[in-house]
Amino acid sequence: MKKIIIILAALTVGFTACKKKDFSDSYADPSKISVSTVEKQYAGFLQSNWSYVVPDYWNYFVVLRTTITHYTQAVGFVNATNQYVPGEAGIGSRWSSYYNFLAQYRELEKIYANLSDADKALYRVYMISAAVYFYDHTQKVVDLHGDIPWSKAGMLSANGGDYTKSLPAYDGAEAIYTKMLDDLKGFSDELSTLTVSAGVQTGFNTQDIINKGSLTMWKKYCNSLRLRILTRVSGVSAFSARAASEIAAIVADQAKYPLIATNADNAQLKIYNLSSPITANGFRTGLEDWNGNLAGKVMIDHMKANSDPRLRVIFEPGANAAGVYLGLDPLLNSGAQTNLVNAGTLAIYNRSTLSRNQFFPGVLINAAEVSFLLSEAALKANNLPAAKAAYEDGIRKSVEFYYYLRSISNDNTVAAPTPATPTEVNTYIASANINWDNAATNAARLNLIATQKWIHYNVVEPTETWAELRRLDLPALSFEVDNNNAQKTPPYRWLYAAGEKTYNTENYNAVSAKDNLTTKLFWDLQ
Amino acid sequence: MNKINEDEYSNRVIASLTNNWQIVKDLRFRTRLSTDFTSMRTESRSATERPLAFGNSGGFGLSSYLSSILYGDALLTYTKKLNKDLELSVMGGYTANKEISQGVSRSTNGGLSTENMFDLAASINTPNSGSSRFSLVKDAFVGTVNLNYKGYLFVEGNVRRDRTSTMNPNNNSFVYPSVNASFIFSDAFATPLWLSYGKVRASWGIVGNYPDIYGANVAYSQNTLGAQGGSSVIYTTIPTSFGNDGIKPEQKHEYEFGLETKFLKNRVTFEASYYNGQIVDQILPLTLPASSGAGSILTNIGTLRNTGLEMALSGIPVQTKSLRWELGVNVASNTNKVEKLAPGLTNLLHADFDGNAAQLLSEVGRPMGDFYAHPIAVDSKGEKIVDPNGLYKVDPNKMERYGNAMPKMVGGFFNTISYKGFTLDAMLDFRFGGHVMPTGIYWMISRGLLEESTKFMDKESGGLSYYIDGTGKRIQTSGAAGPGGEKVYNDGMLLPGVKADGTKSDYIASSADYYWTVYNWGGPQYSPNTRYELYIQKNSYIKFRELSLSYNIPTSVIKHIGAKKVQFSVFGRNLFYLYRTIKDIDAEQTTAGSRWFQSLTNVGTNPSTRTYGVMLRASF
Repeated sequence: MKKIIIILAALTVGFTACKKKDFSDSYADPSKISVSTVEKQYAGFLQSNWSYVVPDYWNYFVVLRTTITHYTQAVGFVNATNQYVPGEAGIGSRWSSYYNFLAQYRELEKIYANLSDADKALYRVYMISAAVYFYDHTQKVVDLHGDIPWSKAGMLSANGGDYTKSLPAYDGAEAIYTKMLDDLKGFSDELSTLTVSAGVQTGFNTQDIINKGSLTMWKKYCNSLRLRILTRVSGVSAFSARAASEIAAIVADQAKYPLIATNADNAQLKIYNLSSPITANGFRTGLEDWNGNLAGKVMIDHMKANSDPRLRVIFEPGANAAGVYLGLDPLLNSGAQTNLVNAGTLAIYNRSTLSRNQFFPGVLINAAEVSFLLSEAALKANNLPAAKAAYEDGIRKSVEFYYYLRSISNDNTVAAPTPATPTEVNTYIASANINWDNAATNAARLNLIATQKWIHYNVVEPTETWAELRRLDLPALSFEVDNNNAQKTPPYRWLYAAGEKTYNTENYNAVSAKDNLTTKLFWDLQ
Repeated sequence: MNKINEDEYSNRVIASLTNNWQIVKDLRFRTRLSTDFTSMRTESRSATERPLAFGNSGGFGLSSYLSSILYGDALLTYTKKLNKDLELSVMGGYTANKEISQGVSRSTNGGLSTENMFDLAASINTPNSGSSRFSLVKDAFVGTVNLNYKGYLFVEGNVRRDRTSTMNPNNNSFVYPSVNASFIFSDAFATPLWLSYGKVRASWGIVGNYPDIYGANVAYSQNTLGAQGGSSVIYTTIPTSFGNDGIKPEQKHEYEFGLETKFLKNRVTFEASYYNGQIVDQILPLTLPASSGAGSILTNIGTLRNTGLEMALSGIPVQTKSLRWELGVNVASNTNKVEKLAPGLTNLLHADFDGNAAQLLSEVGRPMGDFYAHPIAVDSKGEKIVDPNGLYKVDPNKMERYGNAMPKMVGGFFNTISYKGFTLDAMLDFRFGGHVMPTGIYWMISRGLLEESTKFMDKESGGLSYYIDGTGKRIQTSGAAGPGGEKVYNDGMLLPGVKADGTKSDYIASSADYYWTVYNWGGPQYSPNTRYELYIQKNSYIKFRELSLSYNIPTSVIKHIGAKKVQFSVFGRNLFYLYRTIKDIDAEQTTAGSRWFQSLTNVGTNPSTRTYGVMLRASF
């Protein structure tokens, strides 16, 4: 008996006694890994802000519906008190998403920095393309806020978790623009001669979810982005000479600095598979909920009056409108507006082309906007024939783009519209208010370009359209004046996310004087 | 048609094996092995919501979860009577604990392909799937020496060495001592007759606390995007909630003194204790600005001290064969203080409310939980500034302290009277001091739901008469119409103060706008006249917690039905207040979470309930 007890006791102790290895094995989460590679972190970085690239619920419903789509009259909006003060829910979530994206980028930089020099050369293509993508989204955030924490931001991991060293100072908006333009110019030159080894290229083809490993496409994206950034600052005295000469250099040497010239070249995050995490499934509720998809009167009237071939593919008439397109007038009082909304006669964004199109891509930069930017550059250089050609080219590509979007849709709530024929498009381009030759002054010509860009951007590229509207004040839009609140008209910028004021107070205080809704971005000279 | 159903099936097995072995006369060895095993599965169904022609809806999901805990210990005990008065016992042992759990789940993606077909086969897209697992290992060596002198003086010393897998493996073993002593002086000395029992005790010790499972390790998340036009895309990301591989264990150093006494043949009892505990290296996630690269990081955030005094007095004034009356009171008072914070921190922010409208934070040298809000802006002469809308301007650049969340004293009274089979119980609770921010009440005022907002609504309620001129400015008038025939309103308010230029304010506010704006949402950036300093209120109360009357049916009656005890009672809980500082809600309605700083506002909490009941309790 005693023996049995001893054996049992020994067994018990043996069963339960823990070895050193048991502790170390249970320290780390088995679903995580301690080391990553350039390839994996690159894809992690690219996908980390997908829901602000591909249309998704939170961005459209919480962020854009309450702010930009309203300030740009991309949609019809029922007037409300305090309507021109952007809320923290939208600002805070977009800010956090950008800084998480930035943190993933810094991690990629950290992994790359630890490679040998030989490997650094091999993997250079990853770093160039990542920087192009990073700068694209950085410009959008700078355009929303002005100065932001940037060159010192996202360093927590690089600083080994020392948060006292990781509270970043703010960089000036102009300095960020300068740095991005310098770097992008360098990338542009480097890409024109860069070769990628076959071994690296195979992985890059998979991990590059934007351009599927095509160096040519990255060149076009990079140069088109330069064109966009240069145009944004082309009126700022410190940048205007540079903008003119660099744009001229790009246009002059399309072999070395190719641009996105056709819709096939468009830089976009394509939806491949509705079972993957990246889909436009959230666009439906994001745009449609709470009547966020109502058409605005100015845009609808313009499209209707000029028989815009895009009208039927971008919009659809209200359910009770008997086929008539009506937009919501922003200058009506909210009671009259609410009655109109309830009557169901207002046009809405075409559900099958946009909100219910689960294959709707994440639009980064496309051929039509490149044409409009080129047209403006040519206009500035007094090259009117080139400006006209680019303007008309932009309209054609825009029409083509929206019919393409409809063609990839998996929804048929609204029957597919008759395709726009070249004749119809030509008639539109020749019509009185669209015709380039009817614009007598450069101001009128710029207004034509700006109006087309505004229609082309609509709700699809909200941050771009708001920036361009602030830069040019074209097309001229009127807003109801909110007399009962301090902010009476749409703001010139967004406030900083509340968390920055609270948790990075010292650095915030250096920019707090600018943190109001009336400070203009440095390129907003109008 | 909107039917949503979730079923959960759970099985649990608990087993234990204990071995005792008396090795020699004074030496005993005990081992124990136990296991606790849970298996759970769930199925959730959401019915189809619209015809398939209009898109797929509804869903189905299933999950299963397994958890097992294996616990073992071995304990060697040596007991020896050293002499007639002194007994020594020495214990040494080892305990170990392993916990593992595993969960897997799958659910339909994109709705059900066939109406109300509840299976994964009805998924439109590849079903969603998820899994989780964790394992946790802890062990400890413990040693205790205990001396017992004549059964009235006890001294004990303990040492334990903990190891845990939630700490960095290079630094996961920690030793903690503790000692305690107690002395029953009523047994040691001849004490006066009125003292029936008296004991004093003292203790000192250190206890460790560790991060949550996998909380300390910093690692990449890895996942797949599936095929994106080619091979599957495998990616990694760094976390937004950072761990900290260098985290130190949290330690609580505490000493405590206690006194327990009984008087007059145990009719009166008095107990008191004093404690002083210092929590060193408290482990908490520290919120960071997103621009730093993460939303939070696990830190040893600082040192704080809790000191407190607890006292209880109870007595039995009447005790006869049929009547017994017992009553008592207990009070507790705790003071805490932040002694030190981690480098780089001047204060610890627990919550930022409604876009920097108010903050809850702890500062070094102060008790935890100070409420801060923006004060009314004043000019250089200290005069309050009124905005053109007639409302006070809130100073966006300044925050002042308006209260502290910690109560000064809490406690209760109880009273029990039994007469024959009847028992009447009454219980009161009280709390004095400590602020809360019942924001929900003020939002109700802004929406006109409380009487407060009817003030100044018309002439009878004290409203001023005014008309609105062509520029939108409100001008006070005594006429029936404005000079241009403008309509006259009677809900004006004139707040004493100055305009931005320092002259006396004649800006008139409308009372509707006053309540709507002053008690609305948002910090000064969003709503420059909303005054959160008004929201911070002291929460003191004396509450009638419970009243019950019960009757025990005499045994002689119930034994015929084979029952041992049958009790019938009526009761009411959370009945009413004898005193309170916040009128419009229950004082305890601000509880939204288990941590103290989650229990200070009533935004999003449900109203608390008052309960009445009748109860029959029988045992056979």
